[in-house]
Amino acid sequence: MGAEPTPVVWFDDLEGDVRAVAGGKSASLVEMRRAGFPVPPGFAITVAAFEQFGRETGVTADVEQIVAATDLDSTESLRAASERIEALAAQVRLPAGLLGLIEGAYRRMARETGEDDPAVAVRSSAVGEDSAGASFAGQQETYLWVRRLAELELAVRKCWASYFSPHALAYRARLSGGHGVGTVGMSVGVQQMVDADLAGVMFTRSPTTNDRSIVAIEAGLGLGVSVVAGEVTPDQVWVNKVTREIVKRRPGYKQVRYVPNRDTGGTRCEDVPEDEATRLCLDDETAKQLAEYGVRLERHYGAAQDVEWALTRGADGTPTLVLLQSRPITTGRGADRPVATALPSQTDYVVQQMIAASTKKLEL
Amino acid sequence: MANEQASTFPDPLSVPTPEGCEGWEEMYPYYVLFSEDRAEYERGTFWFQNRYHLIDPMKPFDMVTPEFCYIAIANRNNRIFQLPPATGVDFRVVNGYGYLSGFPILDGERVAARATTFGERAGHYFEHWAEIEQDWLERCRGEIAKLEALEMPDLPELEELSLVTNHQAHGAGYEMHQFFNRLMEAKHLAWHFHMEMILIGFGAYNTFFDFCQQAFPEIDKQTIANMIMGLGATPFDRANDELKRLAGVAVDLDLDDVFRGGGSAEEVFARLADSDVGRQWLAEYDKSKYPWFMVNTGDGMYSHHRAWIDDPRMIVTGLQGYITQLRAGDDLSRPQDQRAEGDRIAQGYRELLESDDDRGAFDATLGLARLVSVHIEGHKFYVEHWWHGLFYNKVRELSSVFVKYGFWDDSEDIFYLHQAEVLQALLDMLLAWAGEWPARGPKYWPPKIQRRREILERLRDWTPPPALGAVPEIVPDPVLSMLWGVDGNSLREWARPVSTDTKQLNGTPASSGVVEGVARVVHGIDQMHTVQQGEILVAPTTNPSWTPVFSRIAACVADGGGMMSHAAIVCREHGLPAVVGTGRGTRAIRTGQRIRVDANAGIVTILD
Repeated sequence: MGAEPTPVVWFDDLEGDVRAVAGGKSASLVEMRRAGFPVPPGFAITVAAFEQFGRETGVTADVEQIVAATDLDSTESLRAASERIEALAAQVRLPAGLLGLIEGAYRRMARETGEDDPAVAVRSSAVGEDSAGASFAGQQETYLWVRRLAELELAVRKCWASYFSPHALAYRARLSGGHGVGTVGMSVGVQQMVDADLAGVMFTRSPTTNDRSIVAIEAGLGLGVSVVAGEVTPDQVWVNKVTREIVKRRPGYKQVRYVPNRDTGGTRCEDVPEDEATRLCLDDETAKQLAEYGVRLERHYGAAQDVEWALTRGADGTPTLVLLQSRPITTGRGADRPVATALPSQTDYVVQQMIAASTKKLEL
Repeated sequence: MANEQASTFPDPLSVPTPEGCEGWEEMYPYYVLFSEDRAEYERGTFWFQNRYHLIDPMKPFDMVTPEFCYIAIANRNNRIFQLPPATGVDFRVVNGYGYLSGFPILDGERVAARATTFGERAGHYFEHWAEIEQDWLERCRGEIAKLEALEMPDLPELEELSLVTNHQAHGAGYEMHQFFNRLMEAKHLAWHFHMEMILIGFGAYNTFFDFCQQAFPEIDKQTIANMIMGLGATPFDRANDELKRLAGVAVDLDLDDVFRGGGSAEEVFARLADSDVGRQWLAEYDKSKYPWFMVNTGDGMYSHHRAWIDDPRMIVTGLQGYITQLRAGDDLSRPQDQRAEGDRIAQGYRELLESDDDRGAFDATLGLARLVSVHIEGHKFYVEHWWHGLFYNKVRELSSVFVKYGFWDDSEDIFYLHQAEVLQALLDMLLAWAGEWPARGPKYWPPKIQRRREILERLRDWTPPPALGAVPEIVPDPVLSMLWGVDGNSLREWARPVSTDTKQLNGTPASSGVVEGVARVVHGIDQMHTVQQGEILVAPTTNPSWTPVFSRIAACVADGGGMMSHAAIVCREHGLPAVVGTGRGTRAIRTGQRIRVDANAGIVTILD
């Protein structure tokens, strides 16, 4: 690395403190790719690019002025500030040098995918996001099925603007303990879009009991949005980590699916025929393969994971699983408490169990 | 789900008598009947039908099983070990069907006081388990040898002169009474042997199950059982291995046609005796048969559970199956990797635990459960099969004397008398024999026996309610949960009104998998030969002697049983789906119907 930080870097070329350079979300994708998980390729428009944009266009100074005049405890004030910043971002053009770098990377993706205007997912990736215990879940922006450079540029600016959304401002204000909104930084990830046949989420715990031996998979039709946003009742398939057997198959009701607008870009929601909506969409083999990834991710990160996944089909119908995100589960850690205390002998465990049994009410 | 919660099961004192079975109570002793005398206790207590052991209406003599067995349980649990949370199992009969009740102790101070005694006494067994187990086996075989040696005396026209010259006070009348008493004592003793180690063994099982369910709330009981099982050959495996060996001998000697030539098992054996090679096979059979073929066709709870030796249909049916498999080039050896699989699963779960304390508890409780499992799986052969088989045959010998003196026509008829009535009949007969005047028995018993036969036949068509009396809040006795599957799930299921959906049955998922296929309903050993390759076996319950048929079926559905019952264990071994404890599978399903066995959910669906 030279003295000047690089504004656009391919996921696989990121080095050093990736989180500080590319933000939490991209860093997580980079780590997954490095560990051999099937994560679609992409590039990061780094924190340095965000800073360069702010500096060269004068936006940073404007934003700082707006924030300084904002009452961080007032929802109303926060929203007004956020609107002004978003409007600012919509007006200001990217510096030509930066735009050229983004275009170069996008063209390379076009070459590698064999498409003129490959569809990409554009996601904000803030520093501090997706770390254990501090999830920005849902507070940052994602633009799916973005095609053409002009659309990509707009999406990037919107992502940057989202760094100043009322939620994000309030959140960072809370984190900093009232010392302003912080300037921890913002990156944008641009990732090859997956034409998802099915998609959903996976927890490496039972969502109901936090049981560590369960991988719980939720699946919906089309892009994962319908599942993540809770618009449909997804299929539920549970896999036992130890025996690798399916222990639950519950078809949901997937009445809609999100599909790409192939010409205009972006996505649209379409209705799903009744029989398809109620039929289990996830087969056992795919569920077991996903669970295998879940177990490996959990082992890799040393903590329970909440994973986003998608299944895409090649021209010949061959299914391929891809992973789109993995982050530590931040809630419900209570059940990780030990259940036993050490006792001197085997008999003592039996005695203790029997004493406990004499007061344990059955769940009727 | 509040509306599904039942506050009570049917009133135990108001269960209607099926039509034509009036007076059924007369077959059973007063103390096993619900009555106003103990109404408050009986109504306030939880009673469940013992679907695992007492699936058929009981002939009066077969009361020896529950009468001795439950004395042995309470004696051992309460008076010897002081099991902290329960004293034992009480017992009643309703319309011929056996109901049990656990007797929990819920007073914390009393539980704590008992725990101290229990820790010391059960601890002695746990700490010396392997050597006590060996000693148990030797003592048990010693008692079996005594029973083998017990000879029934003659009732002669004139006693030997030696009685006079030796100045012997007692005659054959006394010896016959003594023979009867010794038989009954042997039967009672068998149940005390039975309970000596297994009750605390179930406590050890339960402790491991409980730990696993706390650490892994979603774990199913099959998976826990799989971690414990597979410690090597039980005597039942040995019986089956002997059968496979004999199938191999039959193939080597080219005796296929003799075994597959049809006719009864007796005819098959008669044909074997007709040729040199057949006699060669019979010589091998004689090497295998004792004691291994003392495995009985049930589980030793009833007089009609005959040993393979006495009812060779299972042997012939099993041999026919194995010969066919051998000719088809199948490998008949038992799955050997069971233990490895159990170890792999245990290791997998252990790795998921987060603290040293949890791993320590896991190792200690799994280790103990595995240690006791050999005895829990093996003891049945010695007690319920070998010992009980010998006992019932000696009772048949005694019965033949009654037949000779005209008390009844068939030696099987003795089982329509309660043991106390057999003693009465014996005293009647001995006095009449001694003095050569008419006994009353020959007029008194035949009509009673006839009536009882009719009642019991009708009672077979009655469906006993799964539970009676109060719904328990706490079931702390490990035997109730481990053996009879009494837990929150089963209580909910039992409290539910009888489903109007006759197409679906719910039970305990005992061995996972989903299979669709053609049902074969088999009520007993005499229908075993009808089971075709790939069919789904639907039976009241299964037991170790049925094992040969499991190599032919696609799945198993049993009316009775829980996680530790035979069908569950063997199906797990063979990787076949099994749903047990459906309660009414053999009544609801007909042979030839297509059914779907979802042993992941414990649901059996009739598809036709």
